[in-house]
Amino acid sequence: MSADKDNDIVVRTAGLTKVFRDFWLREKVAAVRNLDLNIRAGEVYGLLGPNGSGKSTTLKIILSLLYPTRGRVTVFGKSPSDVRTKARIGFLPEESYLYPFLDANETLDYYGRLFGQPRRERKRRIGMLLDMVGLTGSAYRRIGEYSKGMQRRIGMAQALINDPDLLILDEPTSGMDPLAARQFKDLIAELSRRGKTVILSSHLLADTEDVCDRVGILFAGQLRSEGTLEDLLSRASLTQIVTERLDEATSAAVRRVLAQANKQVISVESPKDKLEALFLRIVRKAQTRLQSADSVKTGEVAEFLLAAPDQTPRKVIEELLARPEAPAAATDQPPSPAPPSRVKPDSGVITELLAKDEKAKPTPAQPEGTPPPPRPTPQKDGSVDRNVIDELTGHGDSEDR
Amino acid sequence: MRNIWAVTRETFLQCARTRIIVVFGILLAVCVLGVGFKMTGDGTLKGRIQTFLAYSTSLTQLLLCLVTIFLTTSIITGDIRHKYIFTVASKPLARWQYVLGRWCGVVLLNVLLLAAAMGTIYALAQHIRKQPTQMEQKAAAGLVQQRRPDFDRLGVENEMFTARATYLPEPFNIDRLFQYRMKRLIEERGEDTLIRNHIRKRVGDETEAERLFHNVEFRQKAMAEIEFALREQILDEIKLIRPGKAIGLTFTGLKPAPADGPLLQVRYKLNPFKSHATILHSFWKIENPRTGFVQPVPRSDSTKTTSSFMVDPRCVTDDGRLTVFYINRQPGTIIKIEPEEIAVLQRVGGFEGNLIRAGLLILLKLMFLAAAAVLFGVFLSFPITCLSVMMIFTISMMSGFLHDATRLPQDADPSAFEYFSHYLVKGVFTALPTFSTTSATDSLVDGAYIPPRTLIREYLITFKQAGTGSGRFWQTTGLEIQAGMGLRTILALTVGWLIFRRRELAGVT
Repeated sequence: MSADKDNDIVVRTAGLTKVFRDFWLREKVAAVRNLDLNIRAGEVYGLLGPNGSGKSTTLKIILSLLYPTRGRVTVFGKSPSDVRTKARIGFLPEESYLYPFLDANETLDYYGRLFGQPRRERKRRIGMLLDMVGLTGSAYRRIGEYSKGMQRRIGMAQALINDPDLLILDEPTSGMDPLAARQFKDLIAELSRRGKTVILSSHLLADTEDVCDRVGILFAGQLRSEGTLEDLLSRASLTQIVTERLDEATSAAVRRVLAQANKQVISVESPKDKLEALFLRIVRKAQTRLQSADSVKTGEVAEFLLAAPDQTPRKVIEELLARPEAPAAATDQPPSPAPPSRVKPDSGVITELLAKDEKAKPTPAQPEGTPPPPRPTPQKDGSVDRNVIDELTGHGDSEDR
Repeated sequence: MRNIWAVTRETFLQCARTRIIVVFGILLAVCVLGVGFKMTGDGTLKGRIQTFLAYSTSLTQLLLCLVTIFLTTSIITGDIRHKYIFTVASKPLARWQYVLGRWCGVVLLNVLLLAAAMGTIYALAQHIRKQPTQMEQKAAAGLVQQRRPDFDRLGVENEMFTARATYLPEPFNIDRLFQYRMKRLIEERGEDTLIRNHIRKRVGDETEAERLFHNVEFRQKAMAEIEFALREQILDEIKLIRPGKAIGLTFTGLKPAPADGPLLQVRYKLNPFKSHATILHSFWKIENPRTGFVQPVPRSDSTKTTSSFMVDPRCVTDDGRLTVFYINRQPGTIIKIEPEEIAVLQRVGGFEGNLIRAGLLILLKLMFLAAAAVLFGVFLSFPITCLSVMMIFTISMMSGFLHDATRLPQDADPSAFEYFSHYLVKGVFTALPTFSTTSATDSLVDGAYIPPRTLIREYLITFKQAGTGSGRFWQTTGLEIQAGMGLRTILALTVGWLIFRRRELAGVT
């Protein structure tokens, strides 16, 4: 992949400003102001911000759908309007904006043709992409007859038809059901593994947190904060330990150890399952029972999008749906790589704790088939769940029950 | 090229799946089939075919023009309005490729629709051709003998299912006569008297006339006006044929044809001069001076209507000349003949080839309208684009009428408004094509040959002689070069691309 020579930068904006004017050339709105972005190769970059913050405008300038009022944009070191640059970009707009009179097959064929793909290659990719987004059975239905979710899926497929080096996604999961959203996130992870650059604009923070390496937060057209998720989210002054459920004695012992080390317990809680995992589990059960022909089922990741050419396509959904029996984070091979920002347990502290407390025994080996421990859920806002603390310390039993 | 084809293909699919095509198909079927089977014209077979060709080609052309305007406009503006352009423009597709691809897609659809329509028209025309004429019907019923010539059938075969070139007579050479008469006039009255009287007649004021007479420049101008008036007088005298007198007209550039070759046709219009006669008796003599072959044609025609008769191909000389004599046999009535109203028509091609060329002329209009729709569609909304292109269509259709209506008056000083309307219309005509220059419908109805040269002119460049005066007094002042509709189409597409290239495809979000 050839990118900007210095620092492997794929997308660079310098002093980017976009002012929309009315018919009389009076300033109507300044959508983006002095935006400096440097998005590196292989990075999954999230553009966050509320509605009207300038995310979509920035993406459209990167795609040369809009021209900057001031400032400079380069993509792969070239102008974004250069067709050679566009040949390396995949774009999924905020809505799928696809021709309603074409069917899915024709839609992908059309966009494949625009990339100058030979017929055979086009057909191969179309088949794989339709399979991947679960629309093989609806390949000959017109897009106009699709539901919004199905349109998003085919929109995603068209964005991937050229196996892009840079994938630009504007509100990608809007209109997608959790199943598709999960698959989509896995896909981004897969592309990231292959060194592809992804720019994702969203106001759904959970989506961004799951997949992005780095985020920029826009508000009123200006970049307010930027950095890796680890830098932005980690709270160095706090430590979180996740273990099997502790009985009262062990809990008390842990507290004593912490007290001896002059450390205050802020929060003790039982991690909760994510709603997404719950949903996936329920749908999985329903699907296995009904095997409905009508329902939209997603398939394997298109072979040409996988990391290694000889890698066998994975049944993403099967894997995904098998996992919810156990909490998502504890599987041997998570479908998406753990984001670098995620708060990880400090193994040094655990060892220290276990060594100091005689009552505390090492965790026994996990028997075959036993659900692995639940995934740690970072305490995002630092609030303290008093019920759990009271339960652990035995103070709140009488009051709460 | 692949990209252009991809957009063309997609545009074609989009057009083909639009409901308007279904509506168009139904309308076309109703128009063509309805006209073909219902309209009878003047009752003759020839009249029926003429009516059918006139209505079906006109309606096809009109419907296709409207469909082209609507489809092109809706596709281009729809892409921007519905934001389909986001997905397309983010692909490696240059803006010029998009513009050209869209235009090509509409043109491709037009080609197919036009081919289907013209094919249907051809098939129906052939079907009607096979129907019996009134005389054939009577002959079949045993009411008349078939030996008599069936002029209806002859007309169908020689005037309809053919492609004939039109030849106008050679201009009268009046130079010798004019010089003789001018010399005599000067000898009789004297040059100074002639000029002085002319100026006095024009100015009215004696003193002013005398002053102007001594102005050399004005004297020259006055002399030119006298010469012009004399030439006009001589020509008028030639055009006026007194009873028992004759006039000879020569046509050149015809194709020598074998004796059994297709018949030629003389088409003419006779105007009684200061007479109320309704039927004019005349005698025509067509002569081949080389072989001595003569075809006499006695005629009785209604006044002020176009009449015609057939001419034996043996009348044409080896070098392509045809001499036609007209003898006035109308007692007591002077006949005025305008040379422009007499023409010889000769078959130079087939009906099928002419139909294809007529189709190409219609296609050219459609190509231009599609380009105009692209030009406006890349920066205007659907209703405004549609209205603008409809206006262009209307003005181009009515350009001949508008041009005449806004011509500067020659007998009085034009008013400021007349100047304004004249130059405004002239400016608009410079930018817009004239759809009526060569009418595909008229050509088919008249069986008039559309030469490839005309197609080239219409597609690329039209040369027109610019000048002043009219009729025989036309004086060429130079060559006026007009861009053909093909060039205008390219120009419209180029301007459209230049606008689209700088256009932002997204707004505030």
